[in-house]
Amino acid sequence: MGRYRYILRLCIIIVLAMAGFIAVRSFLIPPSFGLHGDYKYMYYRADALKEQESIPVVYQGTEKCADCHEMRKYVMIRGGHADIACETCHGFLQAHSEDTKIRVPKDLSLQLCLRCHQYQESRPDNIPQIQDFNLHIKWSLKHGFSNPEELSMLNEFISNMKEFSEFTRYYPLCIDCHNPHAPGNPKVTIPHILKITRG
Amino acid sequence: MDIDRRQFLKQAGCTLLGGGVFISIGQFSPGIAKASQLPPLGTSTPVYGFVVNTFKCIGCGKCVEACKIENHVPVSCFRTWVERYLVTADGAVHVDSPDGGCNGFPPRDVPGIIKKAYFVPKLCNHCARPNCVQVCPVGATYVSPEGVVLVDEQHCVGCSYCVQACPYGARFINPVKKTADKCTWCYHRVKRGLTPACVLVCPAKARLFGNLNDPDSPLIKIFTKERVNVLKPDLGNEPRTSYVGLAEEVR
Repeated sequence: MGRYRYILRLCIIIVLAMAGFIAVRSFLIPPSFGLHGDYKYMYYRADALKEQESIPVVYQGTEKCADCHEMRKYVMIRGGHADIACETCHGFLQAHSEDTKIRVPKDLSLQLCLRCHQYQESRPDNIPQIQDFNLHIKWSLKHGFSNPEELSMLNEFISNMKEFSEFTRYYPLCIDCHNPHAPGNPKVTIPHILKITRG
Repeated sequence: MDIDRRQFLKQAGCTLLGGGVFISIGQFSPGIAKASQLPPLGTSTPVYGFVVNTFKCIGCGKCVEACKIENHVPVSCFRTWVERYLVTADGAVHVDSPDGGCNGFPPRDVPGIIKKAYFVPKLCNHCARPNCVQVCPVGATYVSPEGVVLVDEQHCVGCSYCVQACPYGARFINPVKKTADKCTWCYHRVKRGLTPACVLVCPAKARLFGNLNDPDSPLIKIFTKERVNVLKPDLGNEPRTSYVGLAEEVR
Protein backbone atom coordinates (compact mmCIF):
# COMPACT_ATOMS: atom_id res chain seq x y z
CA MET A 1 0.00 0.00 0.00
CA GLY A 2 2.88 2.28 0.88
CA ARG A 3 4.03 2.57 -2.75
CA TYR A 4 0.56 3.85 -3.88
CA ARG A 5 0.26 6.56 -1.27
CA TYR A 6 1.25 9.26 -3.71
CA ILE A 7 -1.50 8.11 -6.09
CA LEU A 8 -4.02 8.29 -3.28
CA ARG A 9 -2.89 11.81 -2.43
CA LEU A 10 -3.25 12.85 -6.04
CA CYS A 11 -6.71 11.31 -6.28
CA ILE A 12 -7.83 13.14 -3.17
CA ILE A 13 -6.53 16.42 -4.58
CA ILE A 14 -8.31 15.84 -7.90
CA VAL A 15 -11.59 14.92 -6.20
CA LEU A 16 -11.40 17.98 -3.96
CA ALA A 17 -10.59 20.24 -6.92
CA MET A 18 -13.53 18.85 -8.90
CA ALA A 19 -15.86 19.20 -5.94
CA GLY A 20 -14.68 22.77 -5.46
CA PHE A 21 -15.19 23.52 -9.14
CA ILE A 22 -18.72 22.08 -9.11
CA ALA A 23 -19.57 23.99 -5.94
CA VAL A 24 -18.32 27.32 -7.29
CA ARG A 25 -19.98 26.70 -10.67
CA SER A 26 -23.36 25.93 -9.09
CA PHE A 27 -23.04 29.03 -6.98
CA LEU A 28 -22.14 31.31 -9.91
CA ILE A 29 -24.51 30.01 -12.59
CA PRO A 30 -28.16 30.95 -12.06
CA PRO A 31 -30.41 27.93 -11.61
CA SER A 32 -32.59 28.64 -14.65
CA PHE A 33 -29.62 29.06 -16.96
CA GLY A 34 -29.56 26.37 -19.62
CA LEU A 35 -30.52 25.21 -23.06
CA HIS A 36 -34.10 26.11 -23.97
CA GLY A 37 -34.01 25.16 -27.65
CA ASP A 38 -31.39 25.58 -30.30
CA TYR A 39 -27.94 25.66 -28.72
CA LYS A 40 -26.72 28.47 -30.94
CA TYR A 41 -29.48 30.88 -30.04
CA MET A 42 -31.46 29.62 -27.06
CA TYR A 43 -28.89 29.06 -24.34
CA TYR A 44 -30.03 31.54 -21.71
CA ARG A 45 -31.36 32.23 -18.24
CA ALA A 46 -35.08 31.44 -18.36
CA ASP A 47 -35.88 33.90 -15.57
CA ALA A 48 -34.69 36.71 -17.86
CA LEU A 49 -37.79 36.18 -20.00
CA LYS A 50 -40.05 36.63 -16.98
CA GLU A 51 -38.15 39.78 -16.03
CA GLN A 52 -38.69 41.15 -19.53
CA GLU A 53 -42.41 40.38 -19.35
CA SER A 54 -42.80 42.12 -16.00
CA ILE A 55 -41.60 45.53 -17.22
CA PRO A 56 -44.47 48.01 -16.66
CA VAL A 57 -46.32 49.35 -19.68
CA VAL A 58 -46.18 53.12 -20.20
CA TYR A 59 -48.19 53.58 -23.41
CA GLN A 60 -51.44 51.79 -22.65
CA GLY A 61 -53.37 51.93 -25.89
CA THR A 62 -56.42 53.66 -27.27
CA GLU A 63 -58.86 51.10 -25.87
CA LYS A 64 -57.71 51.95 -22.36
CA CYS A 65 -58.45 55.65 -23.01
CA ALA A 66 -61.86 54.77 -24.45
CA ASP A 67 -62.78 52.95 -21.23
CA CYS A 68 -63.39 56.36 -19.64
CA HIS A 69 -63.45 58.85 -22.52
CA GLU A 70 -66.25 58.73 -25.04
CA MET A 71 -64.26 60.92 -27.43
CA ARG A 72 -62.97 57.97 -29.36
CA LYS A 73 -66.42 56.60 -30.09
CA TYR A 74 -68.15 59.76 -31.25
CA VAL A 75 -65.59 62.22 -32.51
CA MET A 76 -62.59 60.32 -33.67
CA ILE A 77 -64.49 58.06 -36.03
CA ARG A 78 -64.29 60.56 -38.89
CA GLY A 79 -61.59 62.54 -40.55
CA GLY A 80 -57.96 61.87 -41.30
CA HIS A 81 -57.04 61.37 -37.67
CA ALA A 82 -59.53 58.57 -37.04
CA ASP A 83 -56.91 55.82 -36.97
CA ILE A 84 -54.38 57.69 -34.86
CA ALA A 85 -53.88 56.54 -31.27
CA CYS A 86 -54.74 59.05 -28.54
CA GLU A 87 -51.24 58.77 -27.09
CA THR A 88 -49.63 59.88 -30.35
CA CYS A 89 -50.62 63.49 -29.66
CA HIS A 90 -51.60 63.47 -25.99
CA GLY A 91 -48.58 61.55 -24.70
CA PHE A 92 -48.46 58.39 -22.64
CA LEU A 93 -51.30 57.40 -20.36
CA GLN A 94 -49.50 55.61 -17.53
CA ALA A 95 -49.51 58.33 -14.85
CA HIS A 96 -53.08 59.46 -15.67
CA SER A 97 -54.46 55.92 -15.61
CA GLU A 98 -52.91 55.24 -12.22
CA ASP A 99 -54.20 58.48 -10.76
CA THR A 100 -56.81 60.41 -12.70
CA LYS A 101 -55.99 63.55 -10.76
CA ILE A 102 -52.74 63.68 -12.73
CA ARG A 103 -53.79 65.39 -15.93
CA VAL A 104 -52.41 64.46 -19.31
CA PRO A 105 -50.50 67.57 -20.38
CA LYS A 106 -52.15 69.32 -23.32
CA ASP A 107 -49.75 70.29 -26.06
CA LEU A 108 -51.59 72.87 -28.15
CA SER A 109 -48.50 74.14 -29.87
CA LEU A 110 -47.98 74.73 -33.53
CA GLN A 111 -44.90 72.53 -33.38
CA LEU A 112 -46.89 69.43 -32.51
CA CYS A 113 -49.02 69.78 -35.64
CA LEU A 114 -46.06 70.73 -37.81
CA ARG A 115 -44.18 67.58 -36.87
CA CYS A 116 -46.46 65.79 -39.30
CA HIS A 117 -47.73 68.64 -41.45
CA GLN A 118 -44.72 70.81 -42.21
CA TYR A 119 -43.63 70.43 -45.81
CA GLN A 120 -40.81 67.96 -46.39
CA GLU A 121 -39.69 66.52 -49.71
CA SER A 122 -39.38 63.16 -47.98
CA ARG A 123 -42.99 63.17 -46.86
CA PRO A 124 -45.62 61.29 -48.90
CA ASP A 125 -47.80 63.61 -51.00
CA ASN A 126 -51.06 62.36 -49.51
CA ILE A 127 -50.25 64.02 -46.17
CA PRO A 128 -51.52 67.64 -46.03
CA GLN A 129 -48.42 69.80 -45.66
CA ILE A 130 -47.77 73.48 -45.03
CA GLN A 131 -44.74 75.11 -46.58
CA ASP A 132 -45.30 78.67 -45.32
CA PHE A 133 -47.60 79.35 -42.39
CA ASN A 134 -48.42 82.93 -43.43
CA LEU A 135 -49.21 81.86 -46.97
CA HIS A 136 -51.41 79.10 -45.57
CA ILE A 137 -53.49 81.58 -43.56
CA LYS A 138 -53.77 84.04 -46.44
CA TRP A 139 -54.88 81.30 -48.79
CA SER A 140 -57.33 79.94 -46.23
CA LEU A 141 -58.90 83.36 -45.69
CA LYS A 142 -59.17 83.98 -49.40
CA HIS A 143 -60.83 80.64 -50.05
CA GLY A 144 -62.61 80.23 -46.77
CA PHE A 145 -65.47 82.71 -47.36
CA SER A 146 -67.99 82.64 -50.16
CA ASN A 147 -70.70 84.72 -48.52
CA PRO A 148 -70.43 88.33 -49.98
CA GLU A 149 -71.34 89.87 -46.65
CA GLU A 150 -68.62 87.91 -44.86
CA LEU A 151 -66.12 88.71 -47.64
CA SER A 152 -66.69 92.47 -47.29
CA MET A 153 -66.33 92.18 -43.50
CA LEU A 154 -63.12 90.26 -44.02
CA ASN A 155 -61.70 92.85 -46.44
CA GLU A 156 -62.51 95.60 -43.99
CA PHE A 157 -60.96 93.61 -41.20
CA ILE A 158 -57.74 93.00 -43.16
CA SER A 159 -57.50 96.62 -44.39
CA ASN A 160 -57.70 97.82 -40.78
CA MET A 161 -54.65 95.78 -39.88
CA LYS A 162 -51.36 97.63 -40.24
CA GLU A 163 -49.48 94.50 -41.18
CA PHE A 164 -50.40 90.93 -41.88
CA SER A 165 -48.10 89.82 -39.07
CA GLU A 166 -50.49 91.56 -36.70
CA PHE A 167 -53.09 89.04 -37.69
CA THR A 168 -50.80 86.02 -37.42
CA ARG A 169 -49.69 87.26 -34.03
CA TYR A 170 -53.19 86.75 -32.80
CA TYR A 171 -53.65 83.58 -34.75
CA PRO A 172 -50.96 81.29 -33.47
CA LEU A 173 -52.60 77.88 -33.22
CA CYS A 174 -53.76 75.36 -35.79
CA ILE A 175 -56.54 74.28 -33.45
CA ASP A 176 -58.07 77.76 -33.61
CA CYS A 177 -59.46 76.76 -37.00
CA HIS A 178 -58.98 73.02 -37.26
CA ASN A 179 -60.59 70.45 -35.02
CA PRO A 180 -57.68 68.13 -34.22
CA HIS A 181 -60.02 65.21 -33.53
CA ALA A 182 -61.82 65.48 -36.83
CA PRO A 183 -59.72 67.58 -39.19
CA GLY A 184 -61.10 68.60 -42.51
CA ASN A 185 -62.32 71.90 -43.82
CA PRO A 186 -61.92 74.36 -40.97
CA LYS A 187 -65.02 76.10 -39.69
CA VAL A 188 -63.87 79.69 -39.73
CA THR A 189 -66.31 82.56 -39.39
CA ILE A 190 -65.78 86.29 -39.10
CA PRO A 191 -67.16 86.40 -35.54
CA HIS A 192 -64.77 83.56 -34.73
CA ILE A 193 -61.81 85.54 -36.08
CA LEU A 194 -62.90 88.70 -34.28
CA LYS A 195 -63.29 86.78 -31.06
CA ILE A 196 -59.73 85.45 -31.28
CA THR A 197 -58.07 88.68 -32.39
CA ARG A 198 -59.92 90.91 -29.91
CA GLY A 199 -59.57 88.39 -27.07
CA MET B 1 2.03 -2.84 -12.79
CA ASP B 2 5.21 -0.84 -12.73
CA ILE B 3 4.65 2.80 -13.53
CA ASP B 4 6.66 5.87 -12.68
CA ARG B 5 5.31 9.25 -11.72
CA ARG B 6 5.95 10.87 -15.12
CA GLN B 7 4.10 8.13 -17.01
CA PHE B 8 1.24 8.22 -14.54
CA LEU B 9 0.78 11.97 -14.90
CA LYS B 10 0.90 11.70 -18.69
CA GLN B 11 -1.73 8.99 -18.80
CA ALA B 12 -3.93 10.66 -16.21
CA GLY B 13 -3.74 13.98 -18.07
CA CYS B 14 -4.62 12.36 -21.40
CA THR B 15 -7.53 10.50 -19.83
CA LEU B 16 -8.96 13.66 -18.25
CA LEU B 17 -8.53 15.68 -21.42
CA GLY B 18 -10.05 12.97 -23.60
CA GLY B 19 -12.92 12.50 -21.19
CA GLY B 20 -13.58 16.23 -21.09
CA VAL B 21 -13.67 16.47 -24.88
CA PHE B 22 -15.94 13.43 -25.09
CA ILE B 23 -18.36 14.86 -22.54
CA SER B 24 -18.35 18.24 -24.31
CA ILE B 25 -19.15 16.65 -27.66
CA GLY B 26 -21.86 14.56 -26.08
CA GLN B 27 -23.39 17.63 -24.45
CA PHE B 28 -23.24 20.08 -27.33
CA SER B 29 -23.43 18.12 -30.57
CA PRO B 30 -27.24 17.72 -30.62
CA GLY B 31 -27.56 21.49 -30.46
CA ILE B 32 -25.02 22.12 -33.19
CA ALA B 33 -26.74 19.66 -35.47
CA LYS B 34 -30.10 21.38 -35.09
CA ALA B 35 -31.18 24.33 -37.14
CA SER B 36 -33.31 27.06 -35.60
CA GLN B 37 -35.80 25.48 -33.23
CA LEU B 38 -38.43 28.15 -33.60
CA PRO B 39 -41.85 26.58 -33.90
CA PRO B 40 -42.69 26.01 -37.56
CA LEU B 41 -45.16 28.38 -39.16
CA GLY B 42 -48.71 27.08 -39.02
CA THR B 43 -48.61 26.09 -35.34
CA SER B 44 -50.39 27.81 -32.48
CA THR B 45 -47.19 29.25 -31.00
CA PRO B 46 -46.81 32.87 -32.07
CA VAL B 47 -43.87 33.79 -34.28
CA TYR B 48 -43.62 37.55 -34.46
CA GLY B 49 -42.76 39.67 -37.45
CA PHE B 50 -42.44 43.40 -38.15
CA VAL B 51 -43.01 45.31 -41.36
CA VAL B 52 -41.92 48.88 -42.07
CA ASN B 53 -43.70 50.57 -44.96
CA THR B 54 -41.30 53.26 -46.15
CA PHE B 55 -43.90 54.64 -48.56
CA LYS B 56 -46.04 55.65 -45.58
CA CYS B 57 -43.45 57.01 -43.14
CA ILE B 58 -43.88 60.78 -42.68
CA GLY B 59 -40.81 61.27 -40.47
CA CYS B 60 -42.66 62.71 -37.48
CA GLY B 61 -40.40 60.79 -35.10
CA LYS B 62 -43.24 59.91 -32.73
CA CYS B 63 -42.08 56.29 -32.83
CA VAL B 64 -38.60 57.22 -31.61
CA GLU B 65 -40.06 59.38 -28.84
CA ALA B 66 -42.47 56.65 -27.71
CA CYS B 67 -39.71 54.03 -27.75
CA LYS B 68 -37.53 56.20 -25.57
CA ILE B 69 -40.30 56.83 -23.05
CA GLU B 70 -41.63 53.27 -22.99
CA ASN B 71 -38.22 51.65 -22.57
CA HIS B 72 -36.41 54.40 -20.64
CA VAL B 73 -33.74 54.70 -23.33
CA PRO B 74 -30.98 57.21 -22.44
CA VAL B 75 -30.88 60.48 -24.36
CA SER B 76 -27.90 59.74 -26.59
CA CYS B 77 -28.99 56.19 -27.52
CA PHE B 78 -31.68 54.80 -29.79
CA ARG B 79 -33.43 51.48 -29.99
CA THR B 80 -35.18 52.73 -33.09
CA TRP B 81 -34.46 55.74 -35.25
CA VAL B 82 -35.61 57.33 -38.49
CA GLU B 83 -33.26 58.19 -41.34
CA ARG B 84 -33.97 60.81 -43.99
CA TYR B 85 -32.58 60.04 -47.44
CA LEU B 86 -32.13 62.87 -49.92
CA VAL B 87 -30.80 62.05 -53.39
CA THR B 88 -29.68 65.14 -55.28
CA ALA B 89 -29.71 65.61 -59.05
CA ASP B 90 -26.03 64.67 -59.30
CA GLY B 91 -26.77 61.31 -57.69
CA ALA B 92 -25.23 62.09 -54.29
CA VAL B 93 -27.03 60.51 -51.36
CA HIS B 94 -27.42 62.56 -48.17
CA VAL B 95 -28.56 60.70 -45.07
CA ASP B 96 -29.35 62.41 -41.79
CA SER B 97 -31.09 61.53 -38.57
CA PRO B 98 -30.95 64.48 -36.14
CA ASP B 99 -31.45 63.06 -32.62
CA GLY B 100 -32.59 59.86 -34.30
CA GLY B 101 -35.60 61.78 -35.59
CA CYS B 102 -36.88 61.99 -32.00
CA ASN B 103 -38.00 65.60 -32.40
CA GLY B 104 -39.01 65.39 -36.03
CA PHE B 105 -36.96 66.67 -38.94
CA PRO B 106 -36.08 70.31 -39.67
CA PRO B 107 -36.26 71.54 -43.29
CA ARG B 108 -33.39 70.11 -45.31
CA ASP B 109 -30.04 71.90 -45.45
CA VAL B 110 -28.95 70.11 -48.61
CA PRO B 111 -28.85 72.67 -51.44
CA GLY B 112 -29.90 71.99 -54.99
CA ILE B 113 -32.60 69.99 -56.65
CA ILE B 114 -33.76 66.89 -54.85
CA LYS B 115 -34.33 63.97 -57.17
CA LYS B 116 -35.62 61.53 -54.62
CA ALA B 117 -36.46 61.83 -50.91
CA TYR B 118 -37.91 59.48 -48.32
CA PHE B 119 -37.75 58.40 -44.70
CA VAL B 120 -36.64 54.96 -43.51
CA PRO B 121 -37.32 53.89 -39.92
CA LYS B 122 -34.72 51.48 -38.56
CA LEU B 123 -34.74 49.09 -35.62
CA CYS B 124 -33.39 45.70 -34.60
CA ASN B 125 -34.16 43.17 -37.30
CA HIS B 126 -34.57 40.28 -34.84
CA CYS B 127 -32.73 37.98 -37.20
CA ALA B 128 -33.56 34.30 -37.31
CA ARG B 129 -29.79 33.69 -37.42
CA PRO B 130 -28.42 36.54 -35.32
CA ASN B 131 -24.68 37.23 -35.19
CA CYS B 132 -25.05 39.03 -31.87
CA VAL B 133 -26.33 35.93 -30.10
CA GLN B 134 -23.60 33.70 -31.49
CA VAL B 135 -20.77 35.94 -30.37
CA CYS B 136 -21.96 36.57 -26.80
CA PRO B 137 -19.36 34.91 -24.59
CA VAL B 138 -21.62 34.61 -21.53
CA GLY B 139 -24.99 33.64 -23.00
CA ALA B 140 -26.53 36.97 -22.07
CA THR B 141 -28.29 37.49 -25.38
CA TYR B 142 -30.65 34.96 -26.83
CA VAL B 143 -33.65 34.29 -29.03
CA SER B 144 -36.95 33.91 -27.19
CA PRO B 145 -39.34 31.10 -28.17
CA GLU B 146 -41.32 33.67 -30.21
CA GLY B 147 -38.28 34.69 -32.24
CA VAL B 148 -37.49 37.93 -30.38
CA VAL B 149 -33.79 38.64 -29.77
CA LEU B 150 -33.38 39.77 -26.16
CA VAL B 151 -30.62 40.77 -23.75
CA ASP B 152 -30.34 39.41 -20.21
CA GLU B 153 -29.30 42.55 -18.35
CA GLN B 154 -28.45 40.65 -15.19
CA HIS B 155 -26.00 38.44 -17.04
CA CYS B 156 -24.47 40.81 -19.61
CA VAL B 157 -20.88 41.84 -18.87
CA GLY B 158 -20.92 44.74 -21.35
CA CYS B 159 -18.06 43.46 -23.52
CA SER B 160 -19.60 44.98 -26.70
CA TYR B 161 -18.91 41.96 -28.90
CA CYS B 162 -22.57 41.93 -29.91
CA VAL B 163 -22.49 45.65 -30.69
CA GLN B 164 -19.63 45.01 -33.10
CA ALA B 165 -21.21 41.90 -34.56
CA CYS B 166 -24.58 43.46 -35.46
CA PRO B 167 -24.44 44.43 -39.13
CA TYR B 168 -27.36 46.82 -38.69
CA GLY B 169 -25.98 48.96 -35.86
CA ALA B 170 -29.04 48.15 -33.80
CA ARG B 171 -27.21 47.59 -30.51
CA PHE B 172 -25.50 49.94 -28.09
CA ILE B 173 -24.02 49.88 -24.62
CA ASN B 174 -26.49 51.49 -22.25
CA PRO B 175 -24.50 54.24 -20.47
CA VAL B 176 -26.63 53.90 -17.34
CA LYS B 177 -26.79 50.11 -16.98
CA LYS B 178 -23.40 49.46 -18.66
CA THR B 179 -24.89 46.51 -20.51
CA ALA B 180 -25.86 45.83 -24.12
CA ASP B 181 -29.23 47.28 -25.03
CA LYS B 182 -31.48 46.96 -28.06
CA CYS B 183 -35.03 46.90 -29.36
CA THR B 184 -37.11 44.12 -27.80
CA TRP B 185 -40.15 44.66 -30.03
CA CYS B 186 -41.57 45.77 -26.67
CA TYR B 187 -41.66 42.16 -25.45
CA HIS B 188 -43.36 43.28 -22.21
CA ARG B 189 -46.20 44.86 -24.20
CA VAL B 190 -46.53 42.08 -26.75
CA LYS B 191 -46.89 39.44 -24.04
CA ARG B 192 -49.79 41.51 -22.65
CA GLY B 193 -51.52 41.53 -26.03
CA LEU B 194 -50.49 45.08 -26.94
CA THR B 195 -48.50 46.23 -29.94
CA PRO B 196 -44.99 47.71 -29.58
CA ALA B 197 -45.07 51.38 -28.55
CA CYS B 198 -43.69 52.59 -31.90
CA VAL B 199 -46.43 50.71 -33.77
CA LEU B 200 -49.12 52.13 -31.47
CA VAL B 201 -48.20 55.76 -31.93
CA CYS B 202 -47.28 55.73 -35.63
CA PRO B 203 -49.88 58.10 -37.14
CA ALA B 204 -49.24 56.90 -40.69
CA LYS B 205 -49.41 53.18 -39.93
CA ALA B 206 -45.95 52.81 -41.43
CA ARG B 207 -45.03 50.25 -38.80
CA LEU B 208 -46.89 46.98 -38.50
CA PHE B 209 -46.37 44.19 -36.01
CA GLY B 210 -48.04 40.83 -35.87
CA ASN B 211 -48.02 37.11 -35.42
CA LEU B 212 -46.99 35.32 -38.60
CA ASN B 213 -49.03 32.29 -37.50
CA ASP B 214 -52.23 34.32 -37.32
CA PRO B 215 -54.05 34.37 -40.67
CA ASP B 216 -55.80 37.61 -39.64
CA SER B 217 -52.52 39.36 -38.93
CA PRO B 218 -51.98 42.55 -40.96
CA LEU B 219 -48.57 41.18 -41.90
CA ILE B 220 -50.00 38.31 -43.91
CA LYS B 221 -51.78 40.71 -46.27
CA ILE B 222 -48.62 42.77 -46.67
CA PHE B 223 -46.51 39.73 -47.49
CA THR B 224 -49.10 38.57 -50.00
CA LYS B 225 -49.79 41.84 -51.77
CA GLU B 226 -46.63 43.93 -51.46
CA ARG B 227 -43.06 43.59 -52.65
CA VAL B 228 -41.26 43.08 -49.37
CA ASN B 229 -37.52 43.02 -48.82
CA VAL B 230 -35.10 42.92 -45.91
CA LEU B 231 -31.94 44.91 -45.18
CA LYS B 232 -28.66 43.29 -46.29
CA PRO B 233 -30.18 39.95 -47.29
CA ASP B 234 -26.80 38.76 -48.61
CA LEU B 235 -25.43 38.48 -45.06
CA GLY B 236 -27.66 35.50 -44.38
CA ASN B 237 -28.96 36.68 -41.00
CA GLU B 238 -32.56 36.19 -42.16
CA PRO B 239 -34.05 39.35 -40.57
CA ARG B 240 -37.63 39.19 -39.32
CA THR B 241 -38.09 42.91 -39.86
CA SER B 242 -39.17 43.46 -43.45
CA TYR B 243 -39.44 46.63 -45.49
CA VAL B 244 -41.94 47.68 -48.13
CA GLY B 245 -40.48 50.04 -50.74
CA LEU B 246 -36.83 49.60 -49.85
CA ALA B 247 -34.75 51.80 -52.16
CA GLU B 248 -31.33 50.83 -53.41
CA GLU B 249 -29.60 53.62 -51.45
CA VAL B 250 -30.67 52.18 -48.10
CA ARG B 251 -28.07 50.15 -46.23
